[in-house]
Amino acid sequence: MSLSDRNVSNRQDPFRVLVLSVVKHSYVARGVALHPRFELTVVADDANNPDWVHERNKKFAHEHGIPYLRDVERAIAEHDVEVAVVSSEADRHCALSVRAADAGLHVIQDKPMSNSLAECDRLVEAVARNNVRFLMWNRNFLPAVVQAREAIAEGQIGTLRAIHVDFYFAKDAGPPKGSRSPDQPPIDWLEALLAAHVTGGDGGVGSEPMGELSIEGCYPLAYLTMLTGAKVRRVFARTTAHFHQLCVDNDVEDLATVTLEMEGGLVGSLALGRIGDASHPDIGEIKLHILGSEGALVISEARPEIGVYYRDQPPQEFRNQRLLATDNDYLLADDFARAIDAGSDPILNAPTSRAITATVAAAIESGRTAAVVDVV
Amino acid sequence: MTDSPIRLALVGSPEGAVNWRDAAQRLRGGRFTVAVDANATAAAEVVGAATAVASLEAALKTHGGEFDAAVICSPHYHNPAVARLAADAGKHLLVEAPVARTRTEAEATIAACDRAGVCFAVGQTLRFYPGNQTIIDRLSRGKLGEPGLWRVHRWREKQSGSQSSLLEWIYGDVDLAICMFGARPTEVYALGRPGAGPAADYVQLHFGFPAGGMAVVDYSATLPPGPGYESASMIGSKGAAYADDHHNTHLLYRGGNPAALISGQGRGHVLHELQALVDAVANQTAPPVGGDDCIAAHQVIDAVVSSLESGQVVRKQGDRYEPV
Repeated sequence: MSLSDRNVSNRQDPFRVLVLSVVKHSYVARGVALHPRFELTVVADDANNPDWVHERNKKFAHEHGIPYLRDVERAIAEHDVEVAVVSSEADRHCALSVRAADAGLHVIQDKPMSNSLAECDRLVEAVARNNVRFLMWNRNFLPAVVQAREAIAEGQIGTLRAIHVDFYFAKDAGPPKGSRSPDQPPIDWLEALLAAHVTGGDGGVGSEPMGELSIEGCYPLAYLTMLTGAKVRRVFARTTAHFHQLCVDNDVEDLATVTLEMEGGLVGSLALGRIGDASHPDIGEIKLHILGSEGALVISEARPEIGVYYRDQPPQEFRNQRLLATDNDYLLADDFARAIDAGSDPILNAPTSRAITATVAAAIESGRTAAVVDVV
Repeated sequence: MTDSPIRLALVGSPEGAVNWRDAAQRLRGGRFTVAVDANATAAAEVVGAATAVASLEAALKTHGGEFDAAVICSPHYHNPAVARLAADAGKHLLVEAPVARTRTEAEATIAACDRAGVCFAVGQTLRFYPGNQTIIDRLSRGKLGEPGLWRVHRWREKQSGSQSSLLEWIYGDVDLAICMFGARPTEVYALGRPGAGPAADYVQLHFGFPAGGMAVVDYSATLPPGPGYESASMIGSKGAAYADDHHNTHLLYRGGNPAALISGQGRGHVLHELQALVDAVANQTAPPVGGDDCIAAHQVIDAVVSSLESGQVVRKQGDRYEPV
């Protein structure tokens, strides 16, 4: 049975899923596994990866009772898989996704799409050429974001004029800026990110250092893209390593602001940063400020949430728990299943993901040059 | 330091006088003795002044010995002439921002004060609002570390009839951003729609500051009739502060979706800035917001206008701003 034969709208049996590297966040694969239309079948990665990659892949496979193969092509050939979930280091994202697409697999990939626009272009082309579906994992189904989308779609604030997104993570990233003495070597990016795996702060794991715009920018820009439907044309950005010695030593930003000029005269901004544990009682302020011709919306992305506080509470425990947050995972998987069934686009497809990466790249360049930069 | 209360003349409209009523009652070491306005009797009654005079010229001529300082809250296009008249007569000044239409006018006013040896203080600058005072205090005490990102949304209802000028709209925030970072911005980028003139209903400012600091401020006059919305946050290297109407909102249930009741910050800022003037005059010290601050704000506003007109980043080169 060919893949195209499987993509019929009335199909209800689960899609067999190849977990194609799961060395960073496992939430993508776990989120997919929540949905009854997806069945994790096998974990695979290339044999020439370092030991830590294999250890993490193997651990995930063990937890889910599925095999781990150090041979991607063999896994595809022997396990009759239809969907690949890619959650490798960012610098391998596109290469793995292209291989999956070329093998006829639909692809769900963790963010960012890539740190290279050329790689993004290669992936967009591969997805189109192979007529497979591609989903960039995102947070667009969080209830507050959905509520914003519905209010806009209903015309409650009229025609959109401006949109501003704050996206702060109140997390540390190792020792604070200025804490390294001159006789100490710079902090090694990969070593630091490998150590951060236990706290989930390893979104930028890989050989290439990444700033917060690259690591997290996909989320707020995905909100913006979904809510406005407009492409970003020009940006002006300020970027700096303001908090963490890790970012200073590796010349990447942990704080950024971006002025956005979009299609149709729409304007906006993005404020984003890994601002440190002490800077917010919750995981961080994540808000949308949206102006229309007839009104405005102020949206707190974290809500609804429940606050829980008690004596001797561990400092790492989240005091404010999001309600309905896991719905986002389910709804993303559900959306992707529908996209496969219908041959339609999921909520964040390859071209849009590429456009987001291009906006991030332009912002980083603007931050370095202090000039307005066109998004290409 | 003088033990005698500093005597104040309020120069402005009765509408402006209302803003000073609570401050007049709570002020320490100073009191309003003269009100100057076309409808001075009403203004005098509001602030408890014994003397009401129709013009500053008349006040200086016939009641000049009854006040030490002039609190000028007339429209800014009148301010320079009014302020210079008072300064030339040896009166200390608190002038509501914007002090003048242009930097040149502001410099002339400040020069008049310098010549006369009187205090020049700027009022209505946003610095004295309780939320901003708290942030400035925590920054100055190092609690928040180095300032990194200052983010402001300031929205209000659509304006009917005469609209605020860009200068009136952004002066307070420009001054506040300079205060927060302790320096003028090194880069200025601004967006506006449909232009920088009085018809603009949206302006967005993006500043870069030394040592990587940054500020983004957006203004909108597009809300439906009703209260506005304000939000400000300062992200520092050690901590952050958030002052947000969204956090300070109550709910009113009357059927359908509940209405939002927003608690404002009150008018305590008026007392703070008036007290600062009185204390500066009494102690013969510099006011917290003075001539240098005023000129710095005008320089940056000129850079904002340049960026709006050119669509490009304007960069600080030495003491000047030049398009990139």
